[in-house]
Amino acid sequence: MKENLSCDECERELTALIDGSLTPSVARVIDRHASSCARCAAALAEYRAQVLELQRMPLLAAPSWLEDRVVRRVMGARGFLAAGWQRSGAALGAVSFVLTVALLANLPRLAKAVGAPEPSIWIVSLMDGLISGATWISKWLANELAFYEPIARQIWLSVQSLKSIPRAAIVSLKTPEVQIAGAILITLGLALYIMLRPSRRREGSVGHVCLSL
Amino acid sequence: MASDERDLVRRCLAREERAYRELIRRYQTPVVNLAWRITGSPEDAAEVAQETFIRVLRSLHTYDPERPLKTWLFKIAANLALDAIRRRKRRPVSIEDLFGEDEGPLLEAVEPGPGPDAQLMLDRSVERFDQLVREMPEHYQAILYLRYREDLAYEEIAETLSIPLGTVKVRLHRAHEILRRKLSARGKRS
Repeated sequence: MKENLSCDECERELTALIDGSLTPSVARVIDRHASSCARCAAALAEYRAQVLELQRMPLLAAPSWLEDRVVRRVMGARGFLAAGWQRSGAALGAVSFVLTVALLANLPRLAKAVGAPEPSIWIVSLMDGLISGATWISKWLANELAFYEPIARQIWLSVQSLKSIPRAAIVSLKTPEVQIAGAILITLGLALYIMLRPSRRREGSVGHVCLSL
Repeated sequence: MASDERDLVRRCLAREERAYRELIRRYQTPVVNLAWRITGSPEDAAEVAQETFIRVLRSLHTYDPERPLKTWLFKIAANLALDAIRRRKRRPVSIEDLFGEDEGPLLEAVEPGPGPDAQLMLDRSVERFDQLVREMPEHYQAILYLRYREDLAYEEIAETLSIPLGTVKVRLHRAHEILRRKLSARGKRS
C-alpha cells in the first residue's frame, strides 16, 4: 500500500482498522495517517464510539411459544405420542428384564418353597413335550396326505379327460349328415331360447309363464 | 466445530427431543434478532425463526459439521427473512437490492430522525442509538448486527448473507458513514 494516502482513501479503511481485519502493514499506514490528520482522527474516534454503542444493541426476546411449536412441528403429534410410548415401553422392558432375571435366579428356591419338582426336571419335561408335539404334527400331516391323495388323483384325471371332448366333437362333425343335424339343433335351440326367455316388456310371454310355474 | 456442538447435532440426528430443545434455546435469540433486523417486524421475525428451526432440524443430515452451526443457521434465517420481505411486498425487494453488488446512493438511506415527541420518549441512550440503526435499510442493520452483536468475522458474514467479502467491507463502512451522518443531523436538531 502506498505511504501517502488521501483522507478519502484512509476513511474507507477505518472500519476495517477498528475490526482488526487489515494486514499489519496496511493497518500501520492507516494508523499513521489517522494520527497525523485531524479529520481522519475524528472519524476514527466516532466510528470507535459507534462500535461501542452497536455492541450494546438491544435484543428482541424470542417468543415463549417458539420452542414448543418447533418441537411439535418437527416431531409431529405422532412423534410426541411415540416418544411417550417409547419411554413407557423402555421402562416396562427394563422392569420386566429385572424381574425375569430375579425370577430365574430364584427359581430353584421358589420351586422348593411351593413343593414343585426341580426346575431342571421342568426343562427336560418341556423339551420332551415339544419333541412329542412335533412328532404328532408330522404324523397327522402324513395321514391326512395319505387319505386325500387318491381323491386328488381322481379329480386330476377327470380334468385331464375333459381335453378329449373338443377332439371327439370335431371327429363326429366330419360327415355331412351330422353337420346338418348339428346346425338344425343349434337353430332350434336358439329359437327356443328367444321364445322362452322372460321379457321385461311383455308380461304374458312364455318365459314369464314358465317362471310363474 | 466444538465438541459439545458436535454432540448436540448428533443427538438431534437421533431425534432426541431434549436435544431439539437445547439447540433451539441456544440459538433462538440470535436467530430472532437477525430476522428482526432484516424484516423490521417482530412478528415476522418470530415466524422466520420458527421456520428456520423447523428447516434446520429437518435437514440436519445435510449439514456439514466442518462449518460452524451458527453460520449455517444464520444463512437459513437470512434467506427466509428475505422471502418474508418479498411475500409481504412492503416494497419491491430483490437479492441485489439487499445483498447484491449495487450499493445505491448513500444519501437516500439517510432518513430524517423521529419527531420531537417521539424523541422525548426515547430517554435511554442505547434506545436512541438503536432507533437510528432501525431507521437504516435492513441490509445495513443485518450486517451491523452480525458483526458487532454476534461478533462474526467478515468471512462468516459473507457466507451468511451470500455476498462477496469486499461487499461486506463496503457495507460496514457505509453503515458507519450513515450512522455518522444521522448522529450529526440529530446533534444539529437538538
